[in-house]
Amino acid sequence: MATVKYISHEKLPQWLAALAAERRLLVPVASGDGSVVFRPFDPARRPVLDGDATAPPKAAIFPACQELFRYEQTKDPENPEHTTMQLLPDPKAVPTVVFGARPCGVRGFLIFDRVYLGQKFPDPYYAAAREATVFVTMACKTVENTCFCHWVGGGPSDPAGSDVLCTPVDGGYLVEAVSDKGAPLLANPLLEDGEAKVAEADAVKGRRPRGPGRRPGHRECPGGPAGRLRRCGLLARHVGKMHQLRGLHLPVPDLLLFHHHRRTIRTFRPTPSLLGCLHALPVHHGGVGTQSPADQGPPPENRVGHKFSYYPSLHEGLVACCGCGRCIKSCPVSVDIREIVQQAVARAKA
Amino acid sequence: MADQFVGDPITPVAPTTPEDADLAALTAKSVPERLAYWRAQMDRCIRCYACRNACPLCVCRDHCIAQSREPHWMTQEDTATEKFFFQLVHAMHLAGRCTECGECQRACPMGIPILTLKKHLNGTIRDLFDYQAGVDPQAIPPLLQFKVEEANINERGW
Repeated sequence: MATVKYISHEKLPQWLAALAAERRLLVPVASGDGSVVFRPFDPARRPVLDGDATAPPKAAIFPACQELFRYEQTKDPENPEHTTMQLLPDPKAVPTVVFGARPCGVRGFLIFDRVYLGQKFPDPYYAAAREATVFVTMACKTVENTCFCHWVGGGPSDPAGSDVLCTPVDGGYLVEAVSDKGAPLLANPLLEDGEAKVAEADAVKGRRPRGPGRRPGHRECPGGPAGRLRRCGLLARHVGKMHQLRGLHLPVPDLLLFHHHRRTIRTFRPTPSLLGCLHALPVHHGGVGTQSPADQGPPPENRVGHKFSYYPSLHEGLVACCGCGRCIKSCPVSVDIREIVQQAVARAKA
Repeated sequence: MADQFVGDPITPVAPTTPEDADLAALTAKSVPERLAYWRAQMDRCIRCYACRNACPLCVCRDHCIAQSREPHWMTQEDTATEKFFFQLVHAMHLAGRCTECGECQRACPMGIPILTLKKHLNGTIRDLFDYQAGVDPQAIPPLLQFKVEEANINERGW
C-alpha cells in the first residue's frame, strides 16, 4: 500500500463521510461571527480547511471537563450502618479522527504526552484517548503574522504529532501517512496514487515562514526568561495591559494545568477541569499570589515562565509552546508573548 | 461626557446598519428559537471570562459567582447551560448600568455576540424606567433607588 496518496477537492466530502461512518470525526466548522471550532462531522456543514481554527482540537484528547468515575454505595442488609463503596472508573475513549487541524495544534499533544504518558504517573484517561484518536493535519500554505511555530521547533508542514499529513496541491491534497495509526485511513479507494504530486507538495512544504526571526533559546537567559522577568520587572508593562484578561490562555493547545472539582448529582463525579488553571490554588503553588479579579497580580509570569523556562528545564529544553499564535490573535489588549520572551532574553544579555 | 476634552470633537457618523439590528433579528425569533440560538452560541464559549474581565462595570471582583465555592452557584462543567447561566447573571447584574461599550463582545476570543443580551435588558430598563445608563451623570440608576409607585409598573392594579 502506497503511503502517499492524492485526493481531489471534489472527493474530499466523500472521504470525510466514509471516515465519519466508521468513527467519530471532528472537523473545523464555522460557528458564527467568524469563529471556527472542531465539531462532529455534518455533511450539511462544509469544513473550514483554509486556515487555523479559532479553538484548537485540544478537547478531542483533553476535554475541558471529563467524568473520571462513578461510584456505587451498597448497604450491608445485616448491618445497615455498614456500607461498601465501589469505584467505577471508565477510561474508555471513543475512536476518533480529528481532520483539518494544523500541525502546530497537534504538536501540542507531544507536550502533553511527556506529562500524561510519563513513566511515573501515566494518566489512563489521556492514554486511552490518545490511542483512540488519529490526527489528520493540513500543512499550512500561508503563514499568518501571529504564527511562530518555527521558533519552537515546528513548522508549517511539521509532521510531528500528526498521523496523516495533507499538503494542499493543485486541485486537492497530497495525503501522507506519518504514523502506523494513520496508514489505514489511506486505504479508501477514493484516494488515488499521489506520487505525481510529491514534487509540488515538497515545494509547498519548503516555504519558510516569515516571522520574527530566530527564537531566542531559553538557555540564553540565565535563570530562564521567567526568572529574568520576575527580577527585572519587565512583565509589569505587559501585566498593565492584560491585568484583567487572565483567561485567554484557554484557547491555546498546550496548556496543561488543571485540577479536580466535585459535582454531586446522582453520583459523585470528580472531573478534571482546565478552569483549574484560573483558580488560586495552582497559582499559589507557583508562588505568585492569587488570580482573583481583585488581585491583578502577575499570572502571565507563570504562563510565560511555564512555557519557556520551567518546562524546558524539566524536559530537555523542549519549549512548552507550539507557536500557534492563538494567544496573540485572541488577546483583546494585544499582548504578544514573542515580545515578552525576546525582551527578557535581550535584558539577560545586556 | 468628560472632565477635560482634548482635540476636536468627531462628527458622529451614522452606522451603515442599524445599531440594534442584531437585537431586532433575535427578538423576531420565537422563544424556543432564541434558546436554540443561545445554546449554539454558548457551545463554543471557552469560559475564559474575558467578557467579565473587560467589563468596566463588573463590580463583584473576587466574589464572582464564576469562582465562588461557598456558595457554589456554578459547576465547572463544560456545558452550554452553565455558560449561559453565567452570561444571564452577568447581564442581569448590568441591567440599568451597562453603557453598551461593547468591550465584552470585543474581548471574546470566540466571537460570541453577548452584547445583544445587554442590549435587550437595557431596552427593558428604558421601557420600564425611562432610563439610559451613561447619559446623565446626575440620574440615579433605577435599580439603585426605590419608589413606592413606579410610573410604568402596575403593581397593584389587579
